[in-house]
Amino acid sequence: MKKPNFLKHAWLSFRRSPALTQNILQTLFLAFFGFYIAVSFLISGLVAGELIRDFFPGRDVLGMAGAFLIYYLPMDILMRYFLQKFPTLSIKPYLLLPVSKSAMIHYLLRRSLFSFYSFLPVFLTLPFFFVEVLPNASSTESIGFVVMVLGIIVSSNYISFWISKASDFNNSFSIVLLLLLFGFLFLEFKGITSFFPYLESAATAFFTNPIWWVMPIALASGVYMYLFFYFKKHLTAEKESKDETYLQNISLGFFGRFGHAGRLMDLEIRLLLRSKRARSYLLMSFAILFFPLIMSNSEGLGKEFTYILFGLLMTGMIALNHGQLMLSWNSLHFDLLQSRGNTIHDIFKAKYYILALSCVVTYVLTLPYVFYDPMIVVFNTALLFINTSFSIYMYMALAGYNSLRVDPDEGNSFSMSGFGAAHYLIGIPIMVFPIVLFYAGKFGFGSTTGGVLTLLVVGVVATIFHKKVIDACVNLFGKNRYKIAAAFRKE
Amino acid sequence: MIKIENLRKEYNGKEVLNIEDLTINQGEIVGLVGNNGAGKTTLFSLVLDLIKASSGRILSKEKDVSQTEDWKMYTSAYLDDGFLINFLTADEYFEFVGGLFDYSKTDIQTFVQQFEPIFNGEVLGQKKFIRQLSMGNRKKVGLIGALIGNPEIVLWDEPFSNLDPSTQIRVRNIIKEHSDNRTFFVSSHDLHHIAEVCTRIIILDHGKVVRDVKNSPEMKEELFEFFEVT
Repeated sequence: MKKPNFLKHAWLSFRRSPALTQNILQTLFLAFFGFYIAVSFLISGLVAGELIRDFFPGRDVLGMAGAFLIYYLPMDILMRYFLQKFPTLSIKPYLLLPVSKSAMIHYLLRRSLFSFYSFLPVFLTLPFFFVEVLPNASSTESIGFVVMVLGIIVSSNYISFWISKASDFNNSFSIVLLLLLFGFLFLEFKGITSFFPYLESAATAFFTNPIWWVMPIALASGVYMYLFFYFKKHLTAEKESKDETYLQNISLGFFGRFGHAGRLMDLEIRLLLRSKRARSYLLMSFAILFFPLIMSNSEGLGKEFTYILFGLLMTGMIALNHGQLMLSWNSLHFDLLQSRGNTIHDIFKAKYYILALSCVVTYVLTLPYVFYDPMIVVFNTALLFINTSFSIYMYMALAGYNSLRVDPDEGNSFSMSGFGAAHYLIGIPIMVFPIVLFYAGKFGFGSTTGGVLTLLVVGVVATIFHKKVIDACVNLFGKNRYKIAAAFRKE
Repeated sequence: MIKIENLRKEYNGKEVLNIEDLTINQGEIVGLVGNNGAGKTTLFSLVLDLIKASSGRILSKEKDVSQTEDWKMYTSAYLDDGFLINFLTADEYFEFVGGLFDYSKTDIQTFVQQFEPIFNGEVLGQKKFIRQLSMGNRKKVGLIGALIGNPEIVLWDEPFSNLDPSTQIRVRNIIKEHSDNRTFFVSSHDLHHIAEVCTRIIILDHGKVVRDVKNSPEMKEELFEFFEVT
C-alpha cells in the first residue's frame, strides 16, 4: 500500500487556515505573542538557578530543578488537556483511500507531538541546561536532565492525548486534580508541609543512576503503543458521540419570564453548560478563585497591586473568558438571532446581564476569603462594580469589531482561531484603568480607603448607566453588522 | 408584501444578482428556481437583511428591511443550519422560537405535535441535541421552526433536498395547507414539487429574473422547457 505525503497536507492545511490567510495583522500579532511567550520562558530559564538559590538556600540546584520538573509533569498534562487540540478526525478524508491504517495512525500520533505546547518546556529548560547543568554537573547528570525533559514532553503529550480521546476522563475530574496540585503548592509555599524534599531525592536518584532513565522511555512508549492499538481498533469515520444527556434534566428556564432578553439569557446559560469549549472556559474561571491561596505575601505597593489584579480576575474571569467572544459564541446560529423576533438590542441586553450576573456569582464565591484575608473581600467589592461596568462595556464595544466565528463545541480546546489582535490589546485598558483609578484615589485622598472608595463610586455610577452604554454598543455594532455576520457564516 | 427595487448585489466586482423590479403579493406561493449560482440564496439573504445590497432596496410592508427591524416579527426563514441552535434539543429549540412570540410551553407543544408524522418519532421528546440529529431531521426541525409564530411570510431555501420521499410530499402539503393569508417564498431544484405546489414561479439565471409566470396552464410547460438539456 502507498504511503501518501501526509506531512505536505498538514503543512498546506496550516498555510491555508483562515486564521493565517484572513488577516495579516492577526497573524503578526500571533507571531508576536508566540515570540513573547518564548522569550519570557527563555529568560525564566536563565534566572531559574538564581531563583532556586534564593528561595531554597543550601539545597542542590539540579535536584530542586528536577523536583520542579517532576511536579510540572501533571501540570503540563492538564494544560495540554485543556488547551491542546488532538484532531483525530483530520484523517477522515484518507480513511477510504488505499492507505494503510497503521501509517495513518502513526502519522496522527507523531504529528500531535509537534505542537506549541511541546516546545514550551524546551524554551524553559534549554537556557537552564547551558547556564546551570552543563558547567556544574557531571556528564551522566547532564544526560539524565535531557532524558527527563524529553521524557516529560513526550509522556505528557501522549498521556493527555489518551485522556482527551481514549478514556472516560472528564472535566470535573481534571478540576479535582488541578485543585490537588494547587493545594500541594499552597501547603508547600505556606510552609505547612513539605514534600519537595522527596521529589528532590527522587530527581537526584534519576540524574545519577541511568537505570531510572528506562522509566520515562517505558512510560512514553507504553502510552504510545496503547494509543496505537486503541485507534487501530476504534478509529472510524464516525464522529464520536459521547452520551450528552446528563445535562438535559436541569431546568434552565429561569430568566424566560423576563421577556426576550431573558429568553436569550437562558439560551446563553445552556450554551455555557453544554458546549465543550464554553464549559472549559467556565471551569478555568473557577480555578482562578483559588489563586489568592498561592499568592505571595509581599508588602507595600505591590500588595495593593496584587489585590487589584486578582480581584479583577476573580470577580471577572467568566466575563473575561466569555465576554471577549461575546457574539462569536452565537456565530453558528447568528442568522436566526438577527432575523427572527429578536432585535439586536435584545441580544446585547441579554449579554450584558448574563456577564454582570456571572461577576456577581463569582464575587459571592470569593466572600469566604473574609476569614482568610478581609482585604481581598474589600477590594473585590469595589472591583465587582468595575467589572460590571467598565470591563463588560469594553467587551460589548469589542463585539462591534469582532468577526471571529467560534464553534463552541469544537473540542475542549483553546483554538487560536477565535482570537484576534483586539483580544490581546483589550486586556491592557481593562487592567490599567482600575489600577490608575485606584492610585489616583489613593494619592488624592491620601489613603488606601480613598483608593478603594474611588473604585467603588466610579464602578457603581458607571454600572447605573448600563442602558445608555448598551444603546451605544448596539449602534457601534450596527455599523459593522453585515461584515461580522458574513464572517460568522464562513467556516 | 415584498417589493424589490433596482436591487443589485456584487461580490468583488462580479455581479451575482440584479433585479430591477419585483413584487411579491400576500398569499402567493412563489417558487424560485435556477441552476447553481443563479442567485437564489443571495436573494433570500437580502430579503432577510443578512447581507448588504450593493445598491437598491427591498421593502417589506413598505418599509426598507435594512432600516427597520419591524419585519422580524412577521417574517420567518429556514435557509441553512445557521437558523438552528445546535446545543438545544428540538423541543427546547421550538420552545425558544415560540418564546419569541410569547407562546407558552403547552401552546408550542400542541403546535408542534400536529407535525409529528413528519418527525416520525425521531425528533420530538428525544434526549438528543440538534447537533446530534441527522441532516434530514435537522432540516425538519428548521422547517417546522419557521412556521412558529404565525409568520406572514415564510422563506425556505431548498426545503425538499435531503428529505425522504414521503416527507417531501408532506412538506408540499404543509405549504398548501398553511398558505391562507401567508406568503411562501420557496427555492428548489425539484421542478415537479415546484410545479405542483406554487402559484407563481420565478426563474433566475445568472442573477436576473428571466421568467416570471403566474398560475396558468402554461406555467409547468414553460418551467420544464427552460431547464431542458439539449
